[in-house]
Parts: sequence; C-alpha cells; structure tokens
Amino acid sequence: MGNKILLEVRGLTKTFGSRTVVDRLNLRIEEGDIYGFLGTNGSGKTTTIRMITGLVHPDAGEVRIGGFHLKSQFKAAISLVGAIVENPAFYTYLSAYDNLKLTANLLPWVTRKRIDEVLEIAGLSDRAKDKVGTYSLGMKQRLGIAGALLNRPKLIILDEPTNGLDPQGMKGIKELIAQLAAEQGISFLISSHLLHEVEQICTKAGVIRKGKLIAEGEVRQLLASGEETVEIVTSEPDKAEQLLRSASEVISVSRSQDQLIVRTNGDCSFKLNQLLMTSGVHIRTISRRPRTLEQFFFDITEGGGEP
Amino acid sequence: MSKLIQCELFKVFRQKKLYLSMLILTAVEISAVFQIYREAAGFTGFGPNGQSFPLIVLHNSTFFIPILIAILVADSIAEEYRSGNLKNSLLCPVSRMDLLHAKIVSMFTVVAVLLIFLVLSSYVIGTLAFGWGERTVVDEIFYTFSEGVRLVAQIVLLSVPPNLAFGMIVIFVALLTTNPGGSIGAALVLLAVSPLVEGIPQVRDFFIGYQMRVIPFLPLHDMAAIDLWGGLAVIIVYFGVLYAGSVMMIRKKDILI
Repeated sequence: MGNKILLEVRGLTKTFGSRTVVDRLNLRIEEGDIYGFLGTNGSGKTTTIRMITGLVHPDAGEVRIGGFHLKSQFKAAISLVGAIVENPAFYTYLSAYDNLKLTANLLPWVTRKRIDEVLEIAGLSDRAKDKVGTYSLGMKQRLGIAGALLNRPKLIILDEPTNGLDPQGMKGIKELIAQLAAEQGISFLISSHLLHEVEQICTKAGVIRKGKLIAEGEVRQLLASGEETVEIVTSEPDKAEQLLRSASEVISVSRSQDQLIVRTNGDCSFKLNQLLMTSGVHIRTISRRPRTLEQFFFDITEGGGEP
Repeated sequence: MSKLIQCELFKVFRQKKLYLSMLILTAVEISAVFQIYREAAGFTGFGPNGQSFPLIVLHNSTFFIPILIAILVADSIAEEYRSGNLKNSLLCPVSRMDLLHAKIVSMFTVVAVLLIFLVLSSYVIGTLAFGWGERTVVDEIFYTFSEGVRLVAQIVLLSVPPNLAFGMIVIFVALLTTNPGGSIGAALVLLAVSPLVEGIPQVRDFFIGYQMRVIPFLPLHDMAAIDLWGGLAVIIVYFGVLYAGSVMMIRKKDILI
C-alpha cells in the first residue's frame, strides 16, 4: 500500500483492420511489483507491451511511466524503462560488448563502466568479446536483460523471456529476475503463457483475454479466490458420489476407483467432510488440492471470465 | 542526434557489405581495364592512362553505385526492422525523426565513401594498368593534371545529389514495405526501366535514372546552366517529396516485429 505508481495504463485500445486487439485496457504497476501478464497466444499481450513502450501507436487511451506521459514526454518516460519485446535482437556480426556499446551510445548517462557491470550481472563477462552470432538462445536472453539494465531502469518489461529456453536457461532467467528485484528494487512486467514460472516469481498477475483484462490482483489472492478442488478417498465411492452431486457447492465430481475429485465453488472441504460423515460414509482421506495459477488461468479463460 | 549518427556510422563501417561493395567496384574497374585492352569500351579516343581512367570508370559505372547504395540502405532500414534491431533503437530515448535523420546522414556517408573509393582505386588501378600518363584525356581533349583532377572532383560532387535522391527512394520504400528484398527490387526496377524512359523525351528530364546518368557528366560537355539547375531542381523535388513521405511513414509506423 502507498507504493509509488510506476506504470499506469488507462483505456488502451488498438484495432488492426476490423479486429480490436486491445480493448480499453487498464493496468497499474507499483514500485516493487513483479507483474505477470498472462494470456493465451493472440490475446493482446505483445500489442499491449508494444503500446506501453511506444512501438505501436494506440487508437485510444494513455500510458504514463513514472508520471510521464509516454506520448508527449516520450524520452523522459522511456528512460525509466528497460525492455525486451519478443525476441531480443542484436547485430550478430558484433560482439556482446559492441552491441551494448551501441545501445549505451543512445543513453547519454550510461558509462563504459556500466557496460562491464551489466555484463557481470548477466554472467556474460567471459564471453563479452565473442560475436553474438555464436551465442546460445539463453545467452542472448541474458544479453537482452543486460541491455535492458544499461540505463538503470525502474521498470523492466520482458515479453516471453523464457521462450525457447531449456530448463536450465529458464532457471537462470528466473533467478536473475528475482535477484534484480531483490537487490536493485527493479519492478518487472513479464508477459508469459508459462504459468508455473509466473506463479513462482510474480507478486501480482493480470489475465488478458481477447484484449480485455479479465482478472488482476496479487497472485496469492487470485489463487485463494474462486473454485477449490477436493480429493476424497472412500470405501463407499458410489454412495459418496451420489451425496456429493446433490450438494449445492459442488460443481462437478469425477471418479477413479475409490478416489473422487470434487470441484467446488468455494472453500467448502469442511462442509463436504461433514456431509459425508453425517451420512455414514467412511472417509479414508480428504484433502484440498492447492490451486495453481494454471488452474486459475484455465478456469478464467475457458469459463465466462470470472475466477 | 550526433550519438545516433555515430551509431549508424559504427554499424556501416563494421559491416562486411560495405567492404564487399568496395570489392565489387574494384572488380568493375579491373573489368574496365580488360575491356579497354580489348578495345571494346572506353570513350577516350587516345590511349587511356592512370589520370584518365577514373573518368572512364565513373562514366561506365553510373548504375553500380546506386545498386550498392540500395543494398546498404535497405539493410539499414528494412533489414533492421525485420531483425528487430530498429525496435531496439526505438526503445531508447531517441525520437523517430532523429533516427531517420541519422539514417540519411549514414546514407550520405556511404555515397561519399563509395564515390571517393571508386575514384582513388581507379587512379591506382589505371596507373598500374596503363601508367600515369602525361595528360588527362577525355573525348580526345587534353587537360592538364590539375584540370583533370578538378574534372573528376566536379563529377564526383555532381554524382552525390542524384545518388542521395535515389537513396531517399530506397529509404521510403524500405519504410513502406519493411522488406529488404522488396526495397532492393524496387531500386533495380527503377534502374532497369531507365533506358526505356529515356526514350521518351517529354518525360525523361523528370526521371531520376536519367538525371543520375546525365547530371554528373555535364562538366564534360558544354554545360548549359539550364540543364544543371533544371536537373538539380528535379533531384531536389524527388528528395523533398520522398523525405516528407519518409517522415510521415516513420512517425506513423507501428513496429510489429
């Protein structure tokens, strides 16, 4: 509470032809947030990020970064941001150092020492003089983050930062993000469809579908809200299933031998336990399955949009 | 702005394409030497020499420089867009207009570097092949060395504006299509149709291909001021219109790669 707003997006809209890709989108990122921006392919994530970074002109709405209006105060606004939009791009015939030097040339306050610092942070000091054409995808992503760090940004925007990476590469990027957030206080806006990762590293998340933000909040709160899945193992599965299906809180029951998987519309495992006990059903085990961001995402994107 | 220009020039001079272009120009000069040896080409009636050879090369390679410019300019805009590097520049606190101006300055530098390289290397190759000679000979007219150098300098200077206008066409097409092949293709088409358009006297004066071929070599002939200023006016109109179009394009362009 009371944190300074770093990024504020109001009523952002973009139409390509007759297709509205982003529709009156509002977004707010405060200092210290690691914001996961979730959505299926084609949901409007990248277009939103492109509008936030000034690469695409919105049809309506406004973007403010650190209080600066992106359209009228572009240089001041974009100076607070480091970004990788889709794949990081480099001149493959140049070394990592020379690529960063090119970017640093466009950032007047960035010194040569800073180039060495960001290469060190990204773990690329040893390969700094090698041509980028010889780099692996994971190294390119790390170099992209190094480039995004050059101007000591307050907000880093990463569009699918772990796309195409192997598990080790993904782990490296996640650790780097966590380290930068903890040690340098940098906020992040991370777009991804890899929900497990977002759940692991993000403090807040927003879900976009068909260009509209359909859910937003702290990851903990999002996972605590809405449906719950309860797993029950009983010696009388027929009777238990019948009873559970009649309960108003139950959305669906699926069965595998003695095990029943019950989807409910809230925190009601205690009630179900009571219902079965009072009806004389012998329960071997009853447990709540922790809700994952993946479940939440599917509930919200496949359903009507309510968590 | 100066930093942006510095960046653009850094990229130009670190690319193999520029040096490959110089190699191609050298190959053109060597082939001209062989042609002259076979008496198949050359407009100097008297035996060519190192002093006169740059004039022969400049005269016979009117369209080589524009092709190389098209390749390098398409690379600096359309290829950068396609590879995502243009996006990187636009994610920095620089204005799109400054970026366009830096690209134009970079194009001017490429034009100047290629023309100067063409002249200097043809002096060297011409001298190696035919010896330095006593006089500069053009169209059976003899000039002193200093007059010959002045003539070469005038031709080089007058080659710059039409090549810049041509480069501006490529910049505009590159911004419009964001397709390197398309941009180079458009430039080649323009050069290919040039002889056809030149056959129509009513329109040829307004055609950039014709002006590229004629304006630089006006000092070799009895230069009528009207030809020079008329040609330069056509080039200025080309440059101005295409610059305005490029400004509109870069301002409105959505960067989608």
